[in-house]
Amino acid sequence: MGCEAYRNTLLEYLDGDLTGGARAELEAHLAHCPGCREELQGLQETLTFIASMPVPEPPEVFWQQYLRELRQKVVPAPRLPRLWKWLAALPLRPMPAVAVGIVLILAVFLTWQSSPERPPMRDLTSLNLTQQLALSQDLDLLREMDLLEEIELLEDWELIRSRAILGPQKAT
Amino acid sequence: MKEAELALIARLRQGDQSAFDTLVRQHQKDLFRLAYRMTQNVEDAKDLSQEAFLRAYRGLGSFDERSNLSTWLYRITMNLCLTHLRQHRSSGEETLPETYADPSPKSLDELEEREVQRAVAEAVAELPPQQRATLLLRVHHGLPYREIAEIMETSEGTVRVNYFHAVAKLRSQLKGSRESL
Ligand SMILES: [Zn+2]
Repeated sequence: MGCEAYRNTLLEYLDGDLTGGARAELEAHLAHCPGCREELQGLQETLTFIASMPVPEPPEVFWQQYLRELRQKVVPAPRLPRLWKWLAALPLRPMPAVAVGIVLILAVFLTWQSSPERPPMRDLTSLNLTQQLALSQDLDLLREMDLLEEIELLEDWELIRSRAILGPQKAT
Repeated sequence: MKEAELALIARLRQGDQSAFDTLVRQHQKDLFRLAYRMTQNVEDAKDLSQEAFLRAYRGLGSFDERSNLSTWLYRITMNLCLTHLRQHRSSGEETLPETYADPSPKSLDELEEREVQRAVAEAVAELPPQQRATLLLRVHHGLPYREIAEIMETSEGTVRVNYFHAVAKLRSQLKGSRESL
């Protein structure tokens, strides 16, 4: 192997990446080749100079300001918008409506069960028109209230989250 | 990936502010230094490293937990720096490195060292950005080729070649500047 081939491995050697036979062979060559030794020394010096390049060491007050600015720029993670989209995609949030329906039917059923006159069992279709209308309006109202409540809850949550992220800073 | 890092990421995903503070505190100096060495400018280093934290926070969903948190942060920072350099390449001569503490040189040796450091800084600034990036990650951040390849989104072979070219170029430039002293 000629000097040129050895010189190509010098940087790896300095990095400690040259192992086993290749390393031993290079060291044997370096022992009797002043030119390659000089090359090695030059590379070592270059690396030392690069490593000694100064970098600013900002004071602690810089880092405090740095973090403060970051906290102000941070917005809640994108999970919230995704949740909103998911909610908006649902036609009417069927779960609460179904739950309300079950509760109503159960309530009506239990009232009839416990009433002393024990009127004959009727299904909902036999309720008169006014009753049906009132019931469906109640259902709509309940449904709306249910949705409103959820929206309020979400807004509170968003507020809490944004406060938690932007909010009063602890002294660090 | 370390357990502590996984726990931190879990807290970040829950929107925990103290976790964000911890993330910044843990990595601010590394990211700032990397950005500074890429741009040689304190303001740019501050802006770019801050932007990296914001992108990391917003992009938590895409973070692959098989990767290293610091590798990922370095990659975001490096991409921002490379974009920045591309956009500001035509701005003419590089500004001299700024430092916070810069007392006057006390001796001739120190003066000479300053001159050499300046020459090195200039030579580094003249390297193509990919070579500069590889050199800085290797020499200043002490990263293995494998990790540098992950940061630069390239192969280990390319990293090796970039590193060798960068050192060789700096070596010949340094030789020249010392002979002229
Ligand atoms: Zn030789």
